[in-house]
Amino acid sequence: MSESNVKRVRLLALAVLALAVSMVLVACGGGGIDEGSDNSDVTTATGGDPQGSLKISNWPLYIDGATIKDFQNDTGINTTYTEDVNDNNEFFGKVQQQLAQGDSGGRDIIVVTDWMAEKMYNLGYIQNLDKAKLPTVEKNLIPSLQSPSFDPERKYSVPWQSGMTGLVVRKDLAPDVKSINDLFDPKYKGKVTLLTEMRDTVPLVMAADGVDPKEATTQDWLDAIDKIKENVDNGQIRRFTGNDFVQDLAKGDVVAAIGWSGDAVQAQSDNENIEYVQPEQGCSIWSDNMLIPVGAPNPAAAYKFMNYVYEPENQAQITKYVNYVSPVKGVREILEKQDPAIANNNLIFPSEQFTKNCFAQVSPPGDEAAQQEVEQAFQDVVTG
Amino acid sequence: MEGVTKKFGDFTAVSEMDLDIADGEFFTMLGPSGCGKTTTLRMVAGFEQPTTGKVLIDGTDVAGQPAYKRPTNTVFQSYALFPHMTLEENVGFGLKRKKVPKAEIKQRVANELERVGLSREAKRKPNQLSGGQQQRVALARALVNLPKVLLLDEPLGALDLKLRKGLQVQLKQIQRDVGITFVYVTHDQEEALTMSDRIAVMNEGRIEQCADPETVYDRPATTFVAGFIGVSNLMPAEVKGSNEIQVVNGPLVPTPDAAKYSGGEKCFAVVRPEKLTVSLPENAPSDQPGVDGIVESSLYLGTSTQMAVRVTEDVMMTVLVPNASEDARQHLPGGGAKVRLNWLPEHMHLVAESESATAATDPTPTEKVTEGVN
Amino acid sequence: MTIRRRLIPYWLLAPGLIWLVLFFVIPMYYMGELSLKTGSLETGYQLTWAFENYTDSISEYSTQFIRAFWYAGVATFFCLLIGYPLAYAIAFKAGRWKNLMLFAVVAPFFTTYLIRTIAWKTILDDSSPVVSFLKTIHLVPQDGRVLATSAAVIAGLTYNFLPFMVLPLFTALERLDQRLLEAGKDLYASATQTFWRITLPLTMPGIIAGILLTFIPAAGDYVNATFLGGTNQAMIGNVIQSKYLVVNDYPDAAALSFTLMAIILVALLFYIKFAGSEALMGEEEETR
Ligand SMILES: Nc1ncnc2c1ncn2[C@@H]1O[C@H](COP(=O)(O)OP(=O)(O)O)[C@@H](O)[C@H]1O
Ligand SMILES: [Mg+2]
Repeated sequence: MSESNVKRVRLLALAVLALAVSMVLVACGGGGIDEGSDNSDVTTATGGDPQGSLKISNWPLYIDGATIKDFQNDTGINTTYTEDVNDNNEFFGKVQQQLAQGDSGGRDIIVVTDWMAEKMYNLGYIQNLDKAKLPTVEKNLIPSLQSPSFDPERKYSVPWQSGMTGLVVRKDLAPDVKSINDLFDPKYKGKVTLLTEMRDTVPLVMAADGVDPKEATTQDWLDAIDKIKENVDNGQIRRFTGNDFVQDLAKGDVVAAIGWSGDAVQAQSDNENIEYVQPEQGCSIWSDNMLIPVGAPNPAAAYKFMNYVYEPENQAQITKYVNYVSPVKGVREILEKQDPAIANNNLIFPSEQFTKNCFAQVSPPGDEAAQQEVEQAFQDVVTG
Repeated sequence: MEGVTKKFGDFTAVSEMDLDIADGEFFTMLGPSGCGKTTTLRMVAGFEQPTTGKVLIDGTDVAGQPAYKRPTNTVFQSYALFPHMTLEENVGFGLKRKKVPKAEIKQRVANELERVGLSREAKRKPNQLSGGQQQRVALARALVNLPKVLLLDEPLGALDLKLRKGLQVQLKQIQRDVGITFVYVTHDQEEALTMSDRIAVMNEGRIEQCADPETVYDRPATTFVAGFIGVSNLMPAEVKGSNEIQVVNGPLVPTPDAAKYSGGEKCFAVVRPEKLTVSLPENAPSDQPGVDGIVESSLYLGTSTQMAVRVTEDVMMTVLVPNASEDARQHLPGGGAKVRLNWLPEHMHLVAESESATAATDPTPTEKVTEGVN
Repeated sequence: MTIRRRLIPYWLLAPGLIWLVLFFVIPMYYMGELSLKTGSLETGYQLTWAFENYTDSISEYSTQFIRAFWYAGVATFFCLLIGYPLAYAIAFKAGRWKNLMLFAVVAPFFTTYLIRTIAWKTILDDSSPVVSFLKTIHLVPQDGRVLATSAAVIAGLTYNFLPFMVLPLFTALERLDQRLLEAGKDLYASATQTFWRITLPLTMPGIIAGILLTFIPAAGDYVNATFLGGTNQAMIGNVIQSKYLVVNDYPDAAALSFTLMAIILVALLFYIKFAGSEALMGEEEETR
């Protein structure tokens, strides 16, 4: 009995290991990443059947319930709308191998943040847009979003919604937090969180120390990361978060955080003590963008959808629901009549004054490899 | 044991049991499966507490004493050897718990394994042994502790017939050598008869009879005992005065047994099959009591022939006729023949109807037998 | 005919073998190869036998390795400490509640791992009754916290992997022959001695299985550290995840995974060889 038990346990151990290993491996994938890729031969998205079907991948809670139905009724395009983008990196990990082989997984539109759009484009995973097919977008895109640094001519990206990264605080518990540097005030030790996304967190820290993020050198980035590390090691910073920063704030475990304006608006409706505070040295403005990936089966339908959501009436419907900054002209005018509270909310329709110090979200200087190095330095702090 | 009763919920497994077992005795509890033998044993060992009544060992009430503090050891029905220990470790387990010095443990374990003939296997694990060997280890593991009482619960039950016979002899031998009181449980009447000094026959939680093997066999106290010990030839009878009975549809037979009953009482007359003679009615000895019947079947058993004879509608008698010679056998009456069965009055014995079989019968005789014991 | 018959066992083995090759050998090969490559997503990856991927990443992340094994070890210890009495109670004392209790043990599996872990944020948050209680009995300092500490990560691991400990223990205990325990008592062993001498050694296979099933996934876990941990509490799983998903340093991620696997495998073999098999045999000190 005992000897066979030993054998049995050994077998069990092996089976468990095999399972563990294969899970890790399935997660990490195997092939498909050997080939380098670049954007030297980017195609322009053409063709497709304007009456065919359309498949969109977007973030959760990023559209109201009616728009897709209305779009289908108006155009007759059978639309599959999937909320399978939870995180830029995770989504990239999920689709990267397919895209590297020119397969979009049937998706015609994907929505990712500026820097991820740029990264995917540079890897040759994204097609250029045919501007002639986007008259409504051309006409209604607000001027401030017309030439971002990552895609100055909006060759391949169309903003979906925009938002600001700044301070989100409990005004009852930390009323005097006005600047990013106030996060490092010892009296808030262990009650402060930062975002795990480097491009959200690091530029704000640099700006607080008087460095212009748009001009920042690699060394500026690394210095800011060092400063963050100091505050991690001395216990000032409780943890790095994603969307969950609002829950920590709601419970009061955290009194001030770097966070996103849209989440702040939503959280505020549940707990009025949560408030978005524009950092004295400015905020970071970013967009999530609609892109047409390589291998998209139906670009014609994708163009139709982009034009459709750029109609102010249709956009107003989305904005009312998601509470982010809308990239479409004329929406505010419509909402002023329908829902003045939204129309006058600085986080949804920010005034020039409100965003005067803000900057478009930036990446570290240099090529992908140089950026990766900075990213690694930051991740070493996050997973220290 | 004094007035011991054990109930599981509403169910009475052992009822009002009085039992006195002598020092150094080989005592057997015999009865059909489910009659409460194991339960009785477990109460002695301390695995169950009696619902009422007392268990005394060496004159001290052991109530409330946990099993591990009692001077008893058990050989379990399934052996219950520790599979993760060698034989040596199994046998030494109890001594070690009693903090016997190491050298002594070693010596006693070796002796005990020697006694059961397993010295060479000392370093093996139980699963490397045959059933008979495991049984002997279980015995050694219990005996090595020199308990006041050794409890054995159907220790040979799982073994085949031949092995069982051999071990019966060994077991009896060992008991004589060590002189420890054995309380032995079995449902095999032959085993009980060959090994025991005394036997308690149990039925439905009660003791029907408690006596030495000869008495139990020749003079069963109740119909149940008669039935359980070998083949029963039960003839309904009525007591006629202090020294005579009237067999129903049969003769008037003188017997001293009748003195135990009052006149007019119903009872059964028992005659063992080998004590009956069979003959054609015309040749029957006239000086012996007898009954008439019809041969239903006849079975050749080698040394004897077993005949079934129907006496009345519900009385069947079994007769064992020794096969003295081929010739004698050839002349036995065949099926359908009218025959007479005769016996000597001293071979007849009266039994009361078992209490449990027919609750209406007067329980006094049974009770008397139980109390009469030691 | 005979040949065909002789082949039958191999045919029966085939599905298992195919599974093994498909999900173990091939990915293992790819991952091993990847871990020795250099390059980036744009340039592609070339096999350069870059063993420095191993040496560098091990020395760079030894803290997280050690931390992972430390957290997983402590969590496994607590799982055993909580799981054994629990499994014992379910196996022997639960009576007709047995099935219900077993169900309760596996019930958490009906919600996603992530949700379960996030639920613990509420249980352990700074103003929760649990934490207030811990503060009143001075297990946590007045200005201290539980969430975003090592204790929270270990608590989360313990909670999440407890069923993996309880189930094999329950099976082992349930299979335990009750008569052996009576035999122990009969041979003068008190309840405690019976437990240590008989119950424990005989349930050792369950204990070993439980420890393996708990420790191995716990050592590679990153979810608990992500949600319940604070800064400087990342486990090696978090590093691998970030290397893979965020930095896209696939060779390093593969090298780290391989190292984790190798360490666990070696530790496992040692464990089974020494602690494991001996405990399995239930070796008493010699009687001689
Ligand atoms: N723990 C128990 N709970 C309920 N009933 C029991 C228990 N143990 C024994 N019994 C019942 O008591 C009766 C006697 O059992 P037992 O002593 O094992 O019989 P034996 O050993 O003579 O075959 C049986 O009917 C059995 O079902
Ligand atoms: Mg029994």
